[in-house]
Amino acid sequence: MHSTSARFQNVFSFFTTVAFTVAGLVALSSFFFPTDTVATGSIRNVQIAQGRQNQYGTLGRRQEFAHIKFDLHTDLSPLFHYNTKQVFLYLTTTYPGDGNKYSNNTVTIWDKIIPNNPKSKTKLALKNQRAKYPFNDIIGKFSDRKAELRLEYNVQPHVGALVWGTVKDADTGSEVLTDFVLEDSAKARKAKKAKAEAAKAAKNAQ
Amino acid sequence: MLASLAALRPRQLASQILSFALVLSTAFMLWKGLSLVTNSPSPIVVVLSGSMEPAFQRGDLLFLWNRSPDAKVGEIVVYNVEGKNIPIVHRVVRNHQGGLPYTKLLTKGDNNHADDVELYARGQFYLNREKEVIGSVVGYIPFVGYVTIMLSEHPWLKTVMLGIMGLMVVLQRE
Repeated sequence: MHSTSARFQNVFSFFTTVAFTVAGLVALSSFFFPTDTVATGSIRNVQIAQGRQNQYGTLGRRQEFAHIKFDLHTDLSPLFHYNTKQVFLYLTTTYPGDGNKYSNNTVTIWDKIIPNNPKSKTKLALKNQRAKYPFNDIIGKFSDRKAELRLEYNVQPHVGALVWGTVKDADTGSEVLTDFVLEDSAKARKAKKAKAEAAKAAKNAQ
Repeated sequence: MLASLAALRPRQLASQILSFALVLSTAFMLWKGLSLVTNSPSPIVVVLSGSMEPAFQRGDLLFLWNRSPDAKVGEIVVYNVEGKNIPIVHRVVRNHQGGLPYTKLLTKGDNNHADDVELYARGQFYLNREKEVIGSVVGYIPFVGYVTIMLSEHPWLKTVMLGIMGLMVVLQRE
């Protein structure tokens, strides 16, 4: 009974029991921290341009890509507590289908990893920030669909459950920060051309 | 070792074999039970690459859940591309919902610059939620799964472990 291996086994099993109990308590305790955060966000500019998808060096079909610039102000310090390893912050746009089978579309346009250390900034003030990910729709065109902008987060713990949430708008309390139109680029180009021609005609008439 | 086995009486030997079989089948039943509850063929996975750093490092243990018919943007899913047998743990960055069987996803590793289109099959630009995703991450324990990475990368460790276990069986006859 008092062999070296028995002693080693006892010590090891005691160690694992203690380690897992402490880890369990830490994981449970992180549910007691409030996660209320607010933000203000607005879209500066949406440009729809033609482009191609790329895979294994082969270009895909020509389609519309949206390039977005935005403003964002938020304070995420309530999300950082002792069991926060990092916060993954991401801006999403959501837009409906266009009579096709994909009735609900959500796309990440920008994200940021904020690790939990004293050096990282938990307050963000972004002005005229270019979205990291220009995006195309699964059917290749946007055709004037209205999109909503949301700021969401994923809290990654040191141990335990991952937590997701949406940052609410500071003024309205709504989850939607702002909305904008993903315009039909062909239609917009045609309208612009028509306007230019009308202006030219007006000039000639003078 | 064989001599010590021969010294056992038949009944004792049978009961030892039975208890060993019980341990094995309990582990198997627990794994399959968890698989049923979570609706995932592999409810616990070990992170094998650094593409999700700093959130997940190699050897971290992830608990999966596969009961939701959707996989929202921001969720971290484990998927198996058809024809490639490596499970990949990456975050959903796009979701195109088209009724249950048609939901399409695009994924990206937090630590990667580009999205996963280059990891999919040729000509495939989106993942099929129903067919290719085997669960999304709900829980996390760091480092515990590193043993399995050590064992698969250094096969001699398996021999060493078996050797130590055999030695203990022989030495523990008191």
